[in-house]
Amino acid sequence: MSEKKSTIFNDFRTEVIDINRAFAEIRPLIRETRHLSLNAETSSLKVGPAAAAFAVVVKNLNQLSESLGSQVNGIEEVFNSLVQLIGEWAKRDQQIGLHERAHELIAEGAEEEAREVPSIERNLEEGQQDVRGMVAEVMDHIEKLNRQVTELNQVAVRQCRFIAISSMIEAQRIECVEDGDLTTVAGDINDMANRIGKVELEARNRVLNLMTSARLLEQALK
Amino acid sequence: MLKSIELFNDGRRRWIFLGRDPKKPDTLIDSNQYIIMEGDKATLLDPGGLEIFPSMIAGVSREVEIENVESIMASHQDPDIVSSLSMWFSVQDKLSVYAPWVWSSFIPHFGGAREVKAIPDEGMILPLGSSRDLQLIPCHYCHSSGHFTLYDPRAKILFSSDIGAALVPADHEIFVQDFKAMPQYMEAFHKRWMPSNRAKNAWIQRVRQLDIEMMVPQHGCIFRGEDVQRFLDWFEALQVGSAVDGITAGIAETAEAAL
Ligand SMILES: [Fe+2]
Ligand SMILES: [Fe+2]
Repeated sequence: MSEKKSTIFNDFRTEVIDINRAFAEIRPLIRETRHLSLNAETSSLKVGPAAAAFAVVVKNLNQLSESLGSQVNGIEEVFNSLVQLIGEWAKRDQQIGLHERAHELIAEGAEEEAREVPSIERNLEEGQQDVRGMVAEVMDHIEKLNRQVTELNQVAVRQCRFIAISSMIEAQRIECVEDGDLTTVAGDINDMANRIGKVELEARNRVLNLMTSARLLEQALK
Repeated sequence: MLKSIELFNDGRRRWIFLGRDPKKPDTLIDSNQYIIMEGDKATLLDPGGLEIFPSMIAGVSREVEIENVESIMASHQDPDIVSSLSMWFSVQDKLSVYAPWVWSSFIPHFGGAREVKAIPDEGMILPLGSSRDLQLIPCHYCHSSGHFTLYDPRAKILFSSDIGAALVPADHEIFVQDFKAMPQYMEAFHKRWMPSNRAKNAWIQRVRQLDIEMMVPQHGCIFRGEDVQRFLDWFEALQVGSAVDGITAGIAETAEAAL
């Protein structure tokens, strides 16, 4: 890899690793959503039969934490194979570099009866093909990440906002004017919706940056 | 381009030295590599690090068809010995790798993840083509805990791995011209890299029984004729394991500080 290419590549790798930090913040939110649903359940039990409708909120929260969990698992899976792919790519690229240098040296030393090393030629060709394949796969993975993050927005963030709003309405209906447990729970759910939204926005921005870098890298490799 | 010198040729067996690459970056310790050939088959002794692979493959392919490189002998586990392993596999996948058993599951970490043929502690015959006369002679603890030298009774050449290493300037002669000029390049290395006087003397005793015309180390210069004996005498008199003094001084300092 030329120096310029390897700088772009290193930047790209750093960006991929950074993105993991954004995703890492989602995991604790799953656990907290489960806590919220437990809180909602205990609070509604305390209020008694009047809060029966709050059971829907609890059910929705449970669903949310479940779907959040499976989305995060999916993202992590794609992310891990992306990291692995990039590692293999770097290794393959280093090998190509060594084969290229060998090729040059052989050409330098070759006189009339030049001795070819077919395995070097084959390796160079296969290596370049492999890298092209890997770049395509990396692009594919980033696309997938992008889709998953968008889904995260559509499913998790919107679902959580919806739950927050419906729980607030329920809490107001049940508790009228006085500030009760259910109102606190509803406020917490709203906070959660904001937090998931923030993490999602951060993740989405990073994935978008990654797509730009990947395109730059793809161009540099051409 | 690596310099290459034919050290021996009886029409069937050949020894070729490859080293002193003028383009080698200064950050890498210089190393000597050797090809032994039997007919058209070859083995590479300590083919070197990843960084010198391009020059090595260029050098080796001048002498032998890569498909005919049967094996690699790694005298021990160091990166300057065999970190190029995965690259050799990439150009010759039928390659056998011989290495001390203690390192046989460490060396695959250099990549390629093939099985390494483990050399037992007492040594063995390294097969090459149809020949069965290359002797792997243990030199454990000189410096590595699993370490081999190789003796060829036909060429009367002893490959001594890190023993006899000299950290000479880049453009230094390949053959020892004046033994008296050598210790300045060898002393610090042997004192610091070799840990055991007992092991060192055992190896010297063992190789003194061999008929050696040439001793070829993995770093530095090639010893011929009388210079081989001169080296063995010099090495025998040398006290090795110098870094122990550093530990002992440390103990004294710690004790003093505690007072
Ligand atoms: Fe070594
Ligand atoms: Fe060495």
